[in-house]
Amino acid sequence: MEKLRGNKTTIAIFILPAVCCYLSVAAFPLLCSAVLSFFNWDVAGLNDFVGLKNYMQLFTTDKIFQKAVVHTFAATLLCLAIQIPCAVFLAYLLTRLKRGRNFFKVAFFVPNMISTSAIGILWIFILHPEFGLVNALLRAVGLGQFAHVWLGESDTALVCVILAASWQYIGYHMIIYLCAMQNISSSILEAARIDGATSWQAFRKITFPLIAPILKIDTVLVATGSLRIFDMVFVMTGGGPNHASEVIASHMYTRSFKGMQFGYGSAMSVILMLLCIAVTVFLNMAFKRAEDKVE
Amino acid sequence: MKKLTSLSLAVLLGISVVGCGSGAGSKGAEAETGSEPETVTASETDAGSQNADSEGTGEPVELSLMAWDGGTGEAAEVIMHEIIDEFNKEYEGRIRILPEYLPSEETKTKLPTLMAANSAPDMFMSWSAGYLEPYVTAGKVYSLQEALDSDPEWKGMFIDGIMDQVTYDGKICAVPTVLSTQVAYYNKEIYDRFDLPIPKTHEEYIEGLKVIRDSGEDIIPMAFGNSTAWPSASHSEILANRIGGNDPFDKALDGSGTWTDESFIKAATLLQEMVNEKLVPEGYAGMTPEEAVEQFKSGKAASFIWSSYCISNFEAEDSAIRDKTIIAKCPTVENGKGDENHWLGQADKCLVISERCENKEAAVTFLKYYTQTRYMQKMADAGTLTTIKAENLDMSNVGPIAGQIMQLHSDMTGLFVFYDVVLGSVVGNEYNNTVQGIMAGDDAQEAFENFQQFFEDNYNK
Repeated sequence: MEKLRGNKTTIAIFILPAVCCYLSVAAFPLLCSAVLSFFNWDVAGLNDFVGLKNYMQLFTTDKIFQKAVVHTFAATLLCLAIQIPCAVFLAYLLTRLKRGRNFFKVAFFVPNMISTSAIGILWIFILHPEFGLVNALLRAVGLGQFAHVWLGESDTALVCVILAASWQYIGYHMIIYLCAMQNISSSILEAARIDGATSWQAFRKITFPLIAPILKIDTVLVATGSLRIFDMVFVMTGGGPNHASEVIASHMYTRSFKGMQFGYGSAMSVILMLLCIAVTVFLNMAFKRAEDKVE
Repeated sequence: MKKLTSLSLAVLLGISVVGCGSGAGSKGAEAETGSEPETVTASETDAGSQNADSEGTGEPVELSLMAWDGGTGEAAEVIMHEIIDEFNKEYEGRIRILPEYLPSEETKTKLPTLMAANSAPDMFMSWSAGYLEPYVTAGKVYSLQEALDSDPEWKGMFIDGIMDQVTYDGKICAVPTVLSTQVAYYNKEIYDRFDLPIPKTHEEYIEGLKVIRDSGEDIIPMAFGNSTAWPSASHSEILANRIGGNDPFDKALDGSGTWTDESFIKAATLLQEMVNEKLVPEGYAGMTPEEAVEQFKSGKAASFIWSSYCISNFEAEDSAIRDKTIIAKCPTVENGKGDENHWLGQADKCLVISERCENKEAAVTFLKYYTQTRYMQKMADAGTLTTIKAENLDMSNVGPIAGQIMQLHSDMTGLFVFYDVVLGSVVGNEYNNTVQGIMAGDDAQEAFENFQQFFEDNYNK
């Protein structure tokens, strides 16, 4: 085994298939997309090189794109604010649970196993203005004046979509935190209890610092996942009403596939990718600074 | 031995990957990939493609067709299946149609993708006017002018002027099979009960709706569902045409006028007033057009301004309003320049042959088979409006609602096409969104100023 590891050629040969696979399905299309974004490509095929025109248009005249960027960031912040605290809280509750932990673990994870389109349709019905669960509940308790056309009003559409998406993913993130918390040695927590620490103190001073590395990874996962959000928007509102829930990915889809402006769509995908990278780098830096501070 | 096994497995994998890739392609592509491994099947495929042109011998000509089927049991779709099956039976051994059935919305994504990759199906269904235009301009569509000219009898079957919508640079590029127009549906029972006349003008219409609203009964004055934006847009297009005639739109399109013309703004404002007056269901913004159809079909709504395509739904067994529906021309607007005999509509389900189709003659044969009177009669009997002249059809079996509309159509002096079809997908979609926004409370003047800007930035690009 030692001998095998030492042999660079052997390593290279064994890694080669995976690298080829990765390059052909991930890196190569990315590169193609980047190249395409400098062209005008429609149904007639590749037309002509237009340089930075697609990018210029995105940032100068395309008001919908600018709106979509704002919505995308709002969606990301909202996802971070909802999903991470909820997931940590649920995971913490589960670790305290003596019985039925597995049941709840599965129950919270189930939404993650259902396809997004099914969840989208489910939430469309829950939020339906006439026979939807939410409005029916509000009316039943005499709060009828707070009933809304949740997905049809520009103030509520995006928030509702994000809530539905969060409902889907909270279980997934909860599992990640649960694993992290279960890895904490019980002797540390026991020692703290003997020393007279309250549950809150134990959580703040022991559990939380010990799951911090996972928190960092998960924050990046949530952030990049929500920057790319598309499926839930597409199923629930299609970006409407009047672009109120338009995000970068849905705008990209509309322009590329409905408007047949593939070059323009590629430019958006490149920007989306750069955004994802930038956010990841930013988050990593922010966490690093926080870690340094603690140390 | 092991080496041999793995090698053969690798070859097998390679072949299957190549095979998957060419799945959407035509016969030619299949023959190419088939010829690589020297097997029995490969030589068969090769022989097939060589003999394809000579009829009767060897393999039949295969034609791929991307056809619309939403699975809703709409009459025209059911009959389409029948046509394809019977054609394949009748032309067995000579021509075989290989249909791919997709909901029309899905073809909006799939077709442009295939077109851009130069692997379009031999034939496909399409909308008219601006939707098909980019494909024609890109040289992806086979002109049917010659085929139609060489068969005057076939050409003469169609309604006068219907081909205008699929004519580009003087060449007819598609054969429309279905005609859909926007009409006003009224529930006769409700209108009689409130002693209301069938309205001639928008103002009369609104007055009637207010009476129904104030009655306190659980009746929806006008069925409406606008979660998808285009229902509000199509209604505004009728009103705008009734207010200003054809001119404002034509001028906005060629640049001599703008979208801030009074007719567009007033039309959208009239719709906004209908919302403020609660003449549409309260949750209309979150309801789909299909829900609106259901509102009227179930007898819960007094009126509905909508496409003629759902006549077959209203005439169906489970319809509560089969014998209670009055159809009328869409109301005019008082002091407007528009004419009630101008209809908003479009030639629909247009059959198109791709330029890259290898056997265009066979494809034309199929088009003629599809549009023959026998099948068009069947569609008419089921309540679908066809593009065939009414005199070619036997009206005795046509249903009660479809019969009315065919009568009304006989006065038609003009047909104007949905804006989003003319404007193309991006700009058209933005028009729809603009009107949707105004209905939800946006300022009409400001919204149309923004749309004018969008139009200037994006139209014809």
